[in-house]
Amino acid sequence: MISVRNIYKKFDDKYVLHALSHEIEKGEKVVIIGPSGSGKSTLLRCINLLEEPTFGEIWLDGKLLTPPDPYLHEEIIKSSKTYQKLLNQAQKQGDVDQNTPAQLVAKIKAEDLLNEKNEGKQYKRLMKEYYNKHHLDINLARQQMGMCFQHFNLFANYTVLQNLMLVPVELKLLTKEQAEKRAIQLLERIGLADKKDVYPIQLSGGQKQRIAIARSLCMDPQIMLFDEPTSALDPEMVKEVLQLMQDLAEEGMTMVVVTHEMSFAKKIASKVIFMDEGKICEVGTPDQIFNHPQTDRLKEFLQKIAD
Amino acid sequence: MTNLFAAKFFENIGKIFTNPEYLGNIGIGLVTTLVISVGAVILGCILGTIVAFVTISKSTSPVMKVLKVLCNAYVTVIRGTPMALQLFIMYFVVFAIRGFPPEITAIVAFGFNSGAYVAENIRAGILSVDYGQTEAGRALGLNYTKTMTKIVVPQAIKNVIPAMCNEFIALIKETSIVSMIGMIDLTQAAKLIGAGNALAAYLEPMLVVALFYLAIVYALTFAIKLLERRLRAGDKR
Ligand SMILES: Nc1ncnc2c1ncn2[C@@H]1O[C@H](COP(=O)(O)OP(=O)(O)O)[C@@H](O)[C@H]1O
Ligand SMILES: [Mg+2]
Repeated sequence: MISVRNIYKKFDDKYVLHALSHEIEKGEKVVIIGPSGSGKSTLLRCINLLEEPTFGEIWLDGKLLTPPDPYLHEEIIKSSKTYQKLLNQAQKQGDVDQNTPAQLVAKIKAEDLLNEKNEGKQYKRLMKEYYNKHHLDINLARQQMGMCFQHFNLFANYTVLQNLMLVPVELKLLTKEQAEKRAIQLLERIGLADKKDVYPIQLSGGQKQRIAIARSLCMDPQIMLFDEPTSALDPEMVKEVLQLMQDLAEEGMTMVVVTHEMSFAKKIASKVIFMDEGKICEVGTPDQIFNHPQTDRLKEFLQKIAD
Repeated sequence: MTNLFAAKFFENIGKIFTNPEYLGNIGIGLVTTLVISVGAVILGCILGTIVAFVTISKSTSPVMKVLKVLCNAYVTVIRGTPMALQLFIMYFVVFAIRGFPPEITAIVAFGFNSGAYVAENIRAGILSVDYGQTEAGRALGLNYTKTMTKIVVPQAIKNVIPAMCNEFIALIKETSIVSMIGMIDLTQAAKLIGAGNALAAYLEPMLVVALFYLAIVYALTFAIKLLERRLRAGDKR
């Protein structure tokens, strides 16, 4: 359903994500754990393009969300002027054999030699063709990917009900009446229907986060992304949010959750990803990750959070 | 002695409000001040909004880059030079056309001046809205424009109202320099009345005109307070 292909993300000369690839299938509940600063949030934000990956591609249901990454397509690299130049040089020096093209491609990839602006017509045409063939508008893609933030980010200038209704109505996905009906159903489901006319500032953190989740659900998304949804909550409110997430998981929602709640991870995860220093360090079932860690880094991390 | 003074004072005030010439002067002055102020506020708001959105845009297209440089230069130059000089440049250079209505010249000069301050206010107002609000809107699939108009700008407006109110008040009072390009506004009207033979006293006309300015500023402040209260109905703070 979501395919992350060779993502790099650079913030001021520092790579926060490194050659990260992963496939997420429909119905999976992926929990991402890892030390602070390891790039968990950045990965999640790259998936819905709140951050633009420096290199690499993000795919949703067979549709490309990022611009095509030339380094992932050999035929595009081979159409570039840089490749032609290197090939000519090699020919002049007379050391061309059947491995040369592959070597040149590898060299161009490794040294990031392509320069978008002057790779010639052929290169541009291929890039454009690829883009046109596979691209999906990011705003359409985001409608299918709900996202919950650590700090909720409910719209401060709207009531709870309006928070839920605003986007589906603005985007003409639902009529006002449909949106209201649906919003009320969702609020009833999370037990906050009585708060429908209240502004976010008057709610507790736990209520805000549950409403933020309901706001995403009002878009009827295919997948939900959660970035530490309980980290900003007082302990007594964590449970109500986790319970709602667990209910969602049991209903079959595809979910990607960054969290420090390990018991929650054990309960709902179909797959746990351990990230460290911008890479996926280890992937496995909760049992594999928590009870049989393979890498030293994961062992160390589990040790630390157990203390 | 004091009685004599008071009697004269009230007599003069009476003259100002009964003498058709004086009344005419004040009327013309009031209209001029109001026309220039309203025109400049409107122009300033339009200009300021455009400039603010250009300066906060993250677009990297060449056109936007050029526009950004222009907008930043505009704000810097306007804020770095005196209003009177800007008015002179409009009057003696830009609109140095025989018979060109001076009201337009003044509106453009004050509007351009105000635009720079309005732009800074709006920019600060938009940046004061938590970026999480934008991210939440975008993450749900709203485009940039809708996120701005539906979520960020309504919150920014609340935040900028006090600063904008200050700017409008400053603008209204600053229009009092239009006599420098030969226009008769409230201030100039007071001067003319005071210098007139029949009165030969400056205190009374100046006081009367001061009350007019006070009334205008008070009315504006009151209207904005009402608007603000209405906009803040939502948040109990
Ligand atoms: N907008 C940004 N600008 C610069 N550096 C950033 C930005 N966002 C994140 N980083 C850096 O990227 C690294 C990974 O951040 P993040 O993805 O938030 O980690 P995590 O969520 O795992 O704690 C950190 O070192 C952080 O300082
Ligand atoms: Mg994080």
